[in-house]
Amino acid sequence: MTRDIDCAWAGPWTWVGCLNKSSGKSRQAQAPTIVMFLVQQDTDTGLLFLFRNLTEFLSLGEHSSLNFITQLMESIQAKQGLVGPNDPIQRTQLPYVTGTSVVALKYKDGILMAADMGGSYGSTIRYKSVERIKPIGKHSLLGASGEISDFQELLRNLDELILYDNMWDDGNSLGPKELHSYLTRVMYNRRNKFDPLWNSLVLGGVKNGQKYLGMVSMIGVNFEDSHVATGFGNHLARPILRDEWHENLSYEDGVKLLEKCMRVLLYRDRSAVNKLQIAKITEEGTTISQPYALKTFWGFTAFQNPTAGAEGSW
Amino acid sequence: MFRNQYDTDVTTWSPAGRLFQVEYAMEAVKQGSAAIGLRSKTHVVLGCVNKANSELSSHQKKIFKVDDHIGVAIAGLTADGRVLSRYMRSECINYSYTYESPLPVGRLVVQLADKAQVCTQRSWKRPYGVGLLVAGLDEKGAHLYYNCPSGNYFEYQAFAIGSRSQAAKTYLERRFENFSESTREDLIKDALMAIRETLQGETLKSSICTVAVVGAGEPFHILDQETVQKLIDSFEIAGTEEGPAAAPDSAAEGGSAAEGGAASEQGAPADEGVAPMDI
Repeated sequence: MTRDIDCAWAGPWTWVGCLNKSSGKSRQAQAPTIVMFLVQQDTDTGLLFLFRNLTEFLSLGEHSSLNFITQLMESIQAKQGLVGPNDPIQRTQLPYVTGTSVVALKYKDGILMAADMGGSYGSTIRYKSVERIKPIGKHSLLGASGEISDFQELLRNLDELILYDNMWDDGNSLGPKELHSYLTRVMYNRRNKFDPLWNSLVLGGVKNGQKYLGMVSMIGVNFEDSHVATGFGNHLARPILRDEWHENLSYEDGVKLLEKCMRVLLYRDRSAVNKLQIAKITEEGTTISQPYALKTFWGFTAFQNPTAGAEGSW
Repeated sequence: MFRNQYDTDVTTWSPAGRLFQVEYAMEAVKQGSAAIGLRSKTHVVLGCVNKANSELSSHQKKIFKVDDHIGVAIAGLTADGRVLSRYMRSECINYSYTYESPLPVGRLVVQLADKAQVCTQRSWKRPYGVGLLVAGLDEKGAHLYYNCPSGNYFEYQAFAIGSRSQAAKTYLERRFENFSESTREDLIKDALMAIRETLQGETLKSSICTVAVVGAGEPFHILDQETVQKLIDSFEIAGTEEGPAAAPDSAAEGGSAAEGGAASEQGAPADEGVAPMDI
């Protein structure tokens, strides 16, 4: 008696078949019996088990064949860890390298935007020269906090978008308002795929004498305002801006106000670093400053023993 | 029945370098009742002649609003025109969903032309039998385009398509140099005058024409019949006298607007030797 074993690949499942054939010489010729079973294609563990035990399998009786199948199925289920093509899709659930707050405001002639250059790997400040403010097209500035690589992917997308926009060469161009709307759609679309771009974005710009400043969150929430801040900035910088911002800020006063915000963030946000860039966009165009540091003073009594009076903290 | 051995399908070249099926499609544009368009720096006006198929029916709509900033007037197969208008509407609405701003007219026109071009290069398709005058506004100002079945498109200061459009073109050619600075009202007046040129002696009434306007601070809209009639009366252009240009041109066109199929045979000798893709 011989047994043949073969498998047929069909979609994600594989048929493995075993054929019992009585040898022609035997008098009581047995009818050939076929045993077939399904194996998921990606379960190489299962197939490995099958072939490793091929010799043993060929000498099994029908009853033990069933037993063998059970073992095979168990070995498939035991497989753990690796993701196969038929397993549920897994998404990045957490950001890896992140940037902290972006602060931006409207001033007399346009928009000012500030962001530090730290890149945190978890809570470790791993990178110190991450540029988080970039010009998009002729009329817009984009600042991002959150996952740095997601921001970089977004920048590549936007580069392409602007390129195709320019290729029309018809005098029309995407302004800050259009880009803000576009980003809103992209962010909301990605969150609906349960695969969000892990960023808070600040979009500012000037086109045809119109100043524009808006924000988009990682789930697509968006709004316009005269001043905006992401992350910790939303808690620590916005109150300052609400007190001190006004429509006719000069460039110098605008920068001073942003530096005040960034200094507070530097003191209180552990992810902030003392190396920042301030960007300006006006009708004339975009300028992004060289990185620089703020003057700090750590001798305040409140800094000497920061937990004094905070019961329960160490 | 066939004009020659090279016109049985759209992808077959004639030795002279022509695509007859495409030219027949452009012939269909000439058969349709006339549509005209003209623009100033800030406004575009579209106009068309409404012809009922029979005494018992109403006429078909020939001017469509695509979006607040874009509208079209068509001549040729109305059914094809409606399909293309729907395409344009959908493009506009998709653009404004993504960017919350109006789709630039020129870009829509290119997309439309590309769509028409595909039909001139696929054996299992037929070209659209409709010409479109696309009027619109974008950040570069007011625009008027003509899209034809061949996939070509042209930008114009003023243009007319459809039957007896040559008369309207002659009128517009005489006056187009002033259009740039025209007021909205002057544009409408010239539109009505141009429409009248195509009527061949018939009285200009609001019941046989449609006028639409788009301009700075004025979303595309079709003027209602009452308004048009008032304008006609106030301009005193209803007169039944033969328009000066109408007589010779209508002869050239074979006076064939009404007699569908016969016209293509009559029209044919006239444009023999014309470069294939010319309008």
